[in-house]
Amino acid sequence: MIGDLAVWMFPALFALMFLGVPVGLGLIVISAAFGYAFFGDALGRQMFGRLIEVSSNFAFTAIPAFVFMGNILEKSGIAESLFGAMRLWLGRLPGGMALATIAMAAIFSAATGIIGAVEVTIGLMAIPAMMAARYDKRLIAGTICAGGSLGTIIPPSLTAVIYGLVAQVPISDLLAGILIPGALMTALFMGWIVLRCLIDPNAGPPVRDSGVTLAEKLRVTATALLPTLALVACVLGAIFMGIASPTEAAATGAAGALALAALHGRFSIAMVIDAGRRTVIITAMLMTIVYGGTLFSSMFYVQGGGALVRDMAGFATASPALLVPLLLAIVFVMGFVLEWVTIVLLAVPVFAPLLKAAGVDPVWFGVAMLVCIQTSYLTPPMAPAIFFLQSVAPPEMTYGDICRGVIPFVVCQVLTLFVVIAFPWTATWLPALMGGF
Amino acid sequence: MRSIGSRLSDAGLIVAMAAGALALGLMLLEVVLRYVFASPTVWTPEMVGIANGAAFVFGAGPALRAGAHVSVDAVSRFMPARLRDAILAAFFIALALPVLLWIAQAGFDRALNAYLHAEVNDVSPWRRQVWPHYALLTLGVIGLALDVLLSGLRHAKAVQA
Repeated sequence: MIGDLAVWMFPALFALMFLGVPVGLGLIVISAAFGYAFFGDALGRQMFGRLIEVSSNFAFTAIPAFVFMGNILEKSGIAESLFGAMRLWLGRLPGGMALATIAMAAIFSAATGIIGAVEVTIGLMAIPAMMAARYDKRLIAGTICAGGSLGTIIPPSLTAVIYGLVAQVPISDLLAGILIPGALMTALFMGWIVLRCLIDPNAGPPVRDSGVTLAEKLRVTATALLPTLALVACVLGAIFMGIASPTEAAATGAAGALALAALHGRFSIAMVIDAGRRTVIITAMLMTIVYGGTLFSSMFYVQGGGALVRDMAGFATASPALLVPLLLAIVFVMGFVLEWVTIVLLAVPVFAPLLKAAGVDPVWFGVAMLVCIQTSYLTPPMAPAIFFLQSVAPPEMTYGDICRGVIPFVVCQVLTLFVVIAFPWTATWLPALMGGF
Repeated sequence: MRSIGSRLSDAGLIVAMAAGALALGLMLLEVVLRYVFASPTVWTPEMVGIANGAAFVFGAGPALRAGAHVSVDAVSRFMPARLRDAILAAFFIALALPVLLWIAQAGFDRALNAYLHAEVNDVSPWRRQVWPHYALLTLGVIGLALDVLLSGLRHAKAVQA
């Protein structure tokens, strides 16, 4: 009888979420409602016990450190300098400013791992510049949305960090696993931009660099680009080589970002406080969902949800060829309406036993799932990437322009997903190699 | 009441930021001690976890006030504004608030019990007393409950307007 309740947990949760309540609090409320049937008056104690576990879990401390690092780079104007440096080198190519935007987004994603923040930041910088250069609105929209989505698939992706923690897969393996797909996707995005601008040069005309000398370019590169790249390389290198834990690397990266801000002459107490405030707000939001998701999956399992899932998807567990596309399709559909962290928190605990039973490599599936989440993040009509862009887009850039602009980039993502599924070594080779260190 | 509530929420944000700064500082201290002096501490990871947890629970309320908590507006944005406000007011006051107060009460009981029995964490290598940690989390949950109440009242007022 009690096991029957698990069937209603997801519909009840989705009903509440579609009413527009905050996801984290919705998860907590649904967990309490269904958990009471099992724990009775001991539920409060159970929920507080979970709060102690989740809130003091050392592994989660990497999240605020990465968020703080990203906020410092954004607030100190280093991201703007990065964009300037990329423009100097790539601006003269067909679609050069769009290429600079993607390159900057890839580097900035590697430095922050925060989805959404990257998109808004590059949008604020690149949209006015590309509009002034008379770029096609659809190309601008697609480029910003696609660039902003790279935070999911370029290390140190917070999505990968949380996936690793929930699925109990080494975070360093996941971060190494997404390197090749992330690089491939960035290359495909850039390839599309060049192709588009070769076919129609008016879509992204080259920009004259108004006589900037090579010495000046090298100076800007040395001051704006290289230090940020060095910071990213140190943080990721320390994680990949197993020299430092993700938490230690993230903390060092945050200190490095502060040092970079000081080097650029942009360090101020007000900037640090502002970045700290934003870090606390973002982290609290993420951790509320993590706590709610943890409660929800616990209550789901004590209500017999594990057996329920095995019964429902049992036909597919016999064959990974059936199971993996089925689970990825579920993730893709969830991505239309749910934030990435909610998807990971809800789906991974349910999927993990099925994947284990079917003998699927958790790192490979994790990488495919991250690409899938990123694809649904960008796919119209209900794409968070589009909504983020709308918050910074000029009025003349319509919803229709944005939807048409992102389609080619969605195709690039689907191609990447096919490559990861068809050639699992693209996700597993680097983790295996790193494991040798 | 709302003015007092807002001030308490601001105080919560300050505590959260201080706890976050402490967590980051301790992490860096551990990096230096471990990699420069080859002398890691036994207490830092635990303290970082506790400080990070405090930043989370004390920051959750201000995050709600700032509208930073993720919600799905795929359906709700097509609803009339008053209906949306009525739903959110009912959710915050009738559902979320009682659950959070229940968690807070359980936290208070556990903290008090731990204090009375001088309970220590047996897993911890330095066998710290656990009641300050539990009390901190309880206070944070009370802060979140207060912000939930204020959000509920704000939406209820919008329905009446």
